[in-house]
Amino acid sequence: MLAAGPGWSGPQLAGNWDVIWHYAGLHVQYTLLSLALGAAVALPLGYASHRSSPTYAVLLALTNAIYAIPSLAMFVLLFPFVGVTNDKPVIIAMALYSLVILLRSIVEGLRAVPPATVTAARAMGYGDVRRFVAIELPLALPTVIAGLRLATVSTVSLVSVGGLIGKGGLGRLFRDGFDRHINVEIWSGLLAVVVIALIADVLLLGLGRVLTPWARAQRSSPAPLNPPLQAGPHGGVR
Amino acid sequence: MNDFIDGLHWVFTAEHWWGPGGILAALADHVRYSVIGLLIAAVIGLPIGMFVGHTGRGRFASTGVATALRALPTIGVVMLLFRWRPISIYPVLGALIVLAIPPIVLNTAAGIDAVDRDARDAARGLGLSPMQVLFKVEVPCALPLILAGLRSAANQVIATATVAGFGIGLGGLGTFLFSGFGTQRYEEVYGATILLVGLVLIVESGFVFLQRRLVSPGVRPPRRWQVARGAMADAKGTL
Repeated sequence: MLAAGPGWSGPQLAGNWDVIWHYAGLHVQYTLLSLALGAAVALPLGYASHRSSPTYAVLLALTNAIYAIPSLAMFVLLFPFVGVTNDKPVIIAMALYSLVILLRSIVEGLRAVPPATVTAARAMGYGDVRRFVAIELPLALPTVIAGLRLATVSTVSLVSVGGLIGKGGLGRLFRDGFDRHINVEIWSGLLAVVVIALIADVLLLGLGRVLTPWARAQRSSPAPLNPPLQAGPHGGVR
Repeated sequence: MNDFIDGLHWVFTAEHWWGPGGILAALADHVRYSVIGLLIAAVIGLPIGMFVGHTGRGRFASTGVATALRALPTIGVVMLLFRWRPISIYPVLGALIVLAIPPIVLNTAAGIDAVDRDARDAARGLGLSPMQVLFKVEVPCALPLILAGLRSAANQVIATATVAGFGIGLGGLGTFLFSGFGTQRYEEVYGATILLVGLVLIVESGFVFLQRRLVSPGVRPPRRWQVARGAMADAKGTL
């Protein structure tokens, strides 16, 4: 069943570590490509959404609808455009699914940037694009990275459905294990996916800490007893 | 585009709707699996979320567990459970429950956690017991987010109930996806997708209606974009 690459031999785990390793590597590759593509699309969309609320409303509705499309149907939808035999259907589908999380987190993050900072930057002569890249985006990073973590964990998990059409990474072990009645193959695939997701999550958490030292400084100061204008978990100021 | 029209044509052909393998039967199964899965997940998830939000304990643990659950690929879980119970619906229900619990727990906890401290103190000062504080103050105030969690769980459950089509004779809209894909009758795949997206949209508007009816006017429902951050606790399950 495993179209290309090493196949699982025998009903046991021993001797198959290189198989797991091989598909784990593929899994990571798929995830990285999907996320890179998703982020590359989400950034300009986030910029546009931040500029105009109607655009955001339309894009939110659109990304939500995309999210509701089952992946098998998404693959079929993409086949005529990108072909059947390559990896593009899986990567593009995952990138499209990640948009709903990435777009929201970018816009939420941008909205949390203090208006005074933006005004100051404008007064200092920063143009629109330069201000976005140099001021607003870095200040939006905590929320953007929170969204990226979520998108990463769900993409790592979701890439597995590529296994249904014989593509992707560890998902192929599920399909193969199912077809050949090898439970341990499915087990080890599941565990490997969770481990990859958790490692990626921790790495991004660390990256966020390194990139936003000011957030840590705020966190370590004692929380005010009555936080003024507490921003709710949905980012709204009550 | 043509494929989409073929899909619409498939949906609007009367003979596809009736009979044991028809759209109506599949739709009924799909809704049944989704409702059962969501209800069980709510029964498990809501109390956990309330506990974490109310006491502030277990926040770290619940986030960690939710991340791990979210990382579990549903398709793999279902295949493993199908190996164990090949022709029963329990594998699918189990996967749906696992999928729906994280958004319910995280949104409930975040909602209660964010309830205005003054409101909580006032309720305690009035002599309300902890349970009364929880159910008379915290839950009503957190309701918009609690509903947002249930809504995103419902979306994922409906989309993921398609894995029932991977099993044998379990029904649901996924049957058309898998059989259509297998036999390259793509109009069936497109048709089932149209039905699924329609179902999700109907459920979404149902939740909007619930939100309007249930949330106290004193708790201003967050505007659309404000919901977004809470709903960020979403993640697509699988399929």
